[in-house]
Amino acid sequence: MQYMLVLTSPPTEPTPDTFQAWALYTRALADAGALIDGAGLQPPETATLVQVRGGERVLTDGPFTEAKEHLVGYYLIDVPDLDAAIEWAAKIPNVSVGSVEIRPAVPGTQSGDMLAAMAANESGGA
Amino acid sequence: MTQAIEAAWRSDRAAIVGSLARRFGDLDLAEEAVQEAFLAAETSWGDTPPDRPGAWLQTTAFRKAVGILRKRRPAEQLDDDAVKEALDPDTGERPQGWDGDDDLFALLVTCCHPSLSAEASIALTLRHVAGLHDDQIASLFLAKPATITKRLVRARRKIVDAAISFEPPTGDPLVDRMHNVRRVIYLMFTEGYLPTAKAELHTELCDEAIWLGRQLLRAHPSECETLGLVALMLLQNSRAQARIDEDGALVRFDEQDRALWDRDAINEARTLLSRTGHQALGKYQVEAAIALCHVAGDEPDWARIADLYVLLAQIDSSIAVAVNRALAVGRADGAPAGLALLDELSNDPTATRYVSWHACRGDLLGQLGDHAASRSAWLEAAELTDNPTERTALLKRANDAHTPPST
Repeated sequence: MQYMLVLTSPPTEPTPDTFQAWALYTRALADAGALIDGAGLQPPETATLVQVRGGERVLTDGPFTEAKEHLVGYYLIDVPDLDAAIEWAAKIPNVSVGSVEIRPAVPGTQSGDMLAAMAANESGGA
Repeated sequence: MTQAIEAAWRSDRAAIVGSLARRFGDLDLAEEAVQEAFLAAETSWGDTPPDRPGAWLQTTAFRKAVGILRKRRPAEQLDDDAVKEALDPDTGERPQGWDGDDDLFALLVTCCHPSLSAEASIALTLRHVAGLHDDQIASLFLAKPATITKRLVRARRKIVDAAISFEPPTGDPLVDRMHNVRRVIYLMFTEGYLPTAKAELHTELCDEAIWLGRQLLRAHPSECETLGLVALMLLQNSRAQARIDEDGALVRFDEQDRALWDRDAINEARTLLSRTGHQALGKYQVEAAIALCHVAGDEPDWARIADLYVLLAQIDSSIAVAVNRALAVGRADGAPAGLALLDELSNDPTATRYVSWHACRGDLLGQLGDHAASRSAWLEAAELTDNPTERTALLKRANDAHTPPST
């Protein structure tokens, strides 16, 4: 089962120590065979909002919503069940100041699965 | 339903649902199969139920589940491991060494998963563990059946979509999970214990909560906090008859007819508490010990109750505990001592918005003989409650405030 761990937190300054903590956590996920992907994100001030309305491209500076906690990063993990996802979420380096939202992925919509299904269809049709 | 089927419904149903949910990882399938097994029992048992009705139902439900899966899936996909195992007579049907308590426990722990809201957990537990129908649950909460059905559908969807496991964890995570099971059961109990205009409906909710507590105890008989929880519920429930008069009004503790108290329940609670050996002291054990001090002798042992509240305040820093402690100290050491503790809380806005803080002041001021101040404190409390039965009782106390209390 794939889950996205959506990390939100109040703004914090990164330090070499925190980088090391994230690196160790990421390696622990990888060693357990649970890691699919993950990244930290630049602060919300760097965001650009894109919409297409009536064929017009509308760009807006900044995040969509003002909030005390911002999206600061994510992990995509593959573990057997929710309890396992909760265990990993509770070990996230900044979980003591921020929050982790666990969102299960919709089965069959993972990019790898979709591409594989399309490839199978195309070869079957040929 | 015959008597044998009804008895099996209560004693075996949840364990069989739990065993199927664990085996197939599918609660809906488990419920459907168990439903079919009970229907089969109605036609084939007649007046002579099998020697081991639980084992018969378990075996039948397993076969029904496999049958449902066969219908659901094309034949070539039937090599699913779970189905194969279920069809294998050596491993699939396990009434022989079957541990039903363990399967019921697994189901209960899943229904009370901390990622589900308390109200979702209560509904799931009543539906799948206690075996009530949606409309029965709705009537217990004075809710529309459609509301309860929707809540149950959403909760079951979350179990499936978020892949909540039917297998309880082990070690420390299990300790946390059991803590949440107790919390859900006690919330269910207090929901039933709240005085409402339809109090008679709610006593059923208390009975269900006590039954669930007993099931939890069967799976882990020496868990101190579960012993404490069941004892606490039994003690509170022992006064159910005496607590509400014929008009549905609340009866004050010191005016209750003690002959209406359920002595068997009180004795059972005392036995349960003695089994804890007073080790690993927790909230429910201390609360149960306090409840026992209220009903054990001819009069509450206020000095001991006050001591126990000191202990409870270390575990639970809530305003309710602080207020109850002040009342106990007021009874044990005199009203001024209790009022001094209440005054210490007066800077906390959660205290001054709390019904019991004012009610406790009203009580202690009355004990002191300051009837005018007592009356206004009772009125303040009546103003704050949104429960009509409680408001009536509080207004009565305000009206009575000019006469000295009987205690």
